[in-house]
This record gives sequence, C-alpha cells and structure tokens, in this order.
Amino acid sequence: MSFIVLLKAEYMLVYSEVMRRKSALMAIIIYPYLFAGLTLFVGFSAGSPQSFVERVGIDPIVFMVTASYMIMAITTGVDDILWRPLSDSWIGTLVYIIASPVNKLKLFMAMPIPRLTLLLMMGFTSILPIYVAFYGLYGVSLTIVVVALSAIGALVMTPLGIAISGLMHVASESWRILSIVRPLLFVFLGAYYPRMFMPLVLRLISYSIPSSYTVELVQRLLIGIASIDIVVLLGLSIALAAIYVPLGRKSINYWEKKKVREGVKAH
Amino acid sequence: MLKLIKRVYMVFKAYAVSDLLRSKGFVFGLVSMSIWFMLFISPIILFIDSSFNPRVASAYSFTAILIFLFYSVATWDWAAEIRWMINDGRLEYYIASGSGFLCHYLGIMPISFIWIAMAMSINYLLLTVVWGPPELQISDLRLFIYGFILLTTNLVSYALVLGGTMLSSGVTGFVMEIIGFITPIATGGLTPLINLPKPIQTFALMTPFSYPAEIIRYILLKSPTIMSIHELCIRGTLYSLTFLAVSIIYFRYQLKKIMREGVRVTTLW
Repeated sequence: MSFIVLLKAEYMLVYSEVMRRKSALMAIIIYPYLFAGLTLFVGFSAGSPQSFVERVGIDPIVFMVTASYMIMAITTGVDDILWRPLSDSWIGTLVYIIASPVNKLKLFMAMPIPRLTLLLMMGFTSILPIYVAFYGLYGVSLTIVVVALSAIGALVMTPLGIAISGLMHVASESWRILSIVRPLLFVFLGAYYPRMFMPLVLRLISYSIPSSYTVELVQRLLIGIASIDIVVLLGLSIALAAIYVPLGRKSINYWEKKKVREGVKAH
Repeated sequence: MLKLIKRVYMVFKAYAVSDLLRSKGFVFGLVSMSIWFMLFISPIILFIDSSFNPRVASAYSFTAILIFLFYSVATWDWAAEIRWMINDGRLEYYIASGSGFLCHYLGIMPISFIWIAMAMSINYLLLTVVWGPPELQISDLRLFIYGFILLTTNLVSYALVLGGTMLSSGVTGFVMEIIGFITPIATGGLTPLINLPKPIQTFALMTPFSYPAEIIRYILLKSPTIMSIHELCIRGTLYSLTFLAVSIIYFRYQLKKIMREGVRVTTLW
C-alpha cells in the first residue's frame, strides 16, 4: 500500500474524530493558554517579569505562550504515534492492523501528518494574538515562522516517537510507562526551562532529542540571537531524526513480530 | 454508628488493597505526576532574582504543589468517584441499599491522604535535588491544622457540587480537567493573594478557597497575608460552612432528580 493511500486514510480518521469530538478541538485551543497561564501565574507570584527578562532576554508572556504552543504542537504530532497501538488494542482494531499487509513503519510515519493542520490552527489561536499584541504586524510573519518551525519540530520527532512507541508497547504496563516517558520528553525539550539553564547531564539528554533543536531555534529567534545557528540547529535536528529512522524501524518490527507471535491481548 | 464504622472500614480495606497494595499504577502515577509538576514549576527559578535563596523558591513550590494536590484529590478522587460509580453500576446499589454515600467517602478519604503524603514525599525529594530542601517551618501547629480542616471542608463541598453536577448531567472528563486546572489558580490556591493582580485577588476573596490557602502559606512560609490571620480565620470559617451547607443541599437536589429521571450516561470526553 502506498504512503499516499495511508495518508488519506489517516486524514479521514483524524478529522472524523476531531469533528465528532468538539471538546477535543476546544482542548487544542484552550491548552496552550492554560499551560502558559499556569507557568506565568506561578512565576509572577514567586518573582518578577524583570528578572525573567534579565535572565532569558525576552518577555515572559511571549516566551511561555510560545513554549506552551510548541509543547502542544509536538505533543499533537507525537501523541498518536505513542498511544495508537494502545488505543487500537482497546477498541479492538489492533488485530486487523497487525493482520493487514500494511508496512507498519509507513503507517506510523503517516500518523502525525494530518495533525499538522491542527497545529496550524492552534498557532493562529494561541501565538498569533500575543505576537501581534507585542510586535504589531511583524508578529504575523513571526507566527508563520514559529508555526513552520514547530511543524518541523513535530515531524523530526516522528522517528524517535516510533522507536519509543515500539519499545514501550512490548511491555505489559505500556500506558503507565508512557505516562512517565511523555512528560520526561517534554522536560528535555527545554521549552519551559531552556536547556542552556539545565545541569550538564540533563543538557546531554536534551541534545539527543531532535525536536529540542527546533525549540532552541525558536527561542533564539525570539531573543534575537539566531543568525547562522538557524542552519546548524535545523541541520542537527534533521540529521538526528534520520539517525533514529533505522532504530524506529527495528523497534516497530520487533513490536509487530511480538504481536504476531503472541497474539493481541483482549482488554 | 457501629454499622457506619464497619462500612467505612470495609470500603477503606477494599480500596487500600486495590489501590495501594495491588496496583502498580500507583507508583507509576506518582512518578508521572512529579515530572509534570517539575515541567511547570521549574521555570519559576527564571523569574527569581539570582541573589534570591533557591530554598525559598523550593518552599513556595512545595506549598503550591501541596495545595494543588488537595484540589486534584477533590476533583479526581472524590468528585470523579461518582463518575466511576455510575459507569460500573455501583451508584444504583448504593441508592438501593439506603446506606448513603457518607460511609463510602469516609472510607476513601484516608486513601487520598496517604496518596498525598506519598506524592509530597516524592516532590520534596525532587525539589531538594533541583533547588535544595524547601525552607519550611510550622510556626503554629494548631492554626496549621485549622487551615487544613477549612481547606478539606471547602474541597468536600466543591466535590459535592462537581459530583452533583456529574450525577445530573454526566459531565465530561474534559470539563473536569479544565475546572481542576483553573480553580486552584483563580481562587488563589497556588500563590499568595498579595502577589495577584487586583481583579483576580477580588475574585479569589469572593470564594471560600483563598482563606485556608492563605493561612497554610502564612504558617509554612511566613508569607505576607492580605488581611490579619484573625480575620482570615473568621471569614474562612463563615465561607466554608456556608459553602458546605449549599453544596449538601445541591447534591441532595441532584440525587432526587436522578431518582425521578434516572442516572445519566457519562461521556468519555
């Protein structure tokens, strides 16, 4: 089955679900504000925006809204990859997916792409109003750049997401392990707490996550210290994603073979 | 009375075995929750002047997490329990048995408090690793306990209102998630009221939640309060008792309503 056919199927699946579950659509709009509101609220009450500007070099409102948007954008992209095997096993469709001749790597690669349209919508409901308020018309072009970089961030996360998903779902308590791995990934992305402030060990782990480079790139862009780093950081991000592709393929094959060998458990 | 105590014990035993002893998810859940907290709390340090003692930031974070967890327990352990009871058919059994819900809730409350204690221990360790041990001191134990009694009373009332709404409308997990997120922020649960913008401060003072939170913060952190402690206690008590009375009436009304109209089907989202 070609990649395009799989992509069409994924689009139909995602958008029928989104249109049916309006609350999920609402959540996509509300969550970046909720997350940003929480971090700003706690930050403002414990310290001051001036200290934040001195340390980070950017207004905290712009920073936190952008961080929340990027977290949500990358989550939106990678979540399906991480959770779909479980969701399929809960609703009884996993057995058909395993039995079908579809290339599983292609299937998982197609999963985050339909979500990119949602990511675009989320960008216009979350960061655009804030950027326009702070930067005027320049905020519109900045939004387009940040949305594009976040889309790249979501896409380069795909191979690592597949590698993690394949490995996790061979474990018996996979959703519980995922509930730990997922927030850990977000910590290491460095969206709320930039990696330049992280201790060395955490920073080294952060360097192994492809999307962390796009997150850093957006932060540098907002602070105004991007220059030549754009190419370097984007290149590193894509190169790292490419390194994870064989790992993702092995991991998903291992998961598939295990399911074929042992069968799909009923829930 | 003896019957009630026996029922409470049976509920406690059943939940202790299933939630504390058998479920591996308990440990996973605690670790996951701590990481989520770290994700949102860690940027605090960026707002603080570099000359500021990080142990004080650690103490502020600890207290904010503590109060947030109390709210979470009210939302997800107490109010959402109604949802699980509807889903697995226990609600009808409770209604038909005539035993009421009190024994059930008295039975699960200690489990919730054990869970908070364990979660706070993990968070204490995490904060110690990141910023150093939180600089906490209980300056007045009686007032501290009184603050927690007021907070618990408010949260029981809040759970009754949320649970009652769930009974009559089958309200969704998404709505609960949003309410669970916004309530502690908007009612001054996370931060000293004096640091809040005026409109939120006024709103927070119109709710019963802000008063015990201020008392607890004052005792643990010596943070400045928006009014005298004496006034906080009097106002807090009046608000809490009124809220409790209103929430009991509301819950009973919703219960009567489903007796007439039947139990609603809850939705996943």
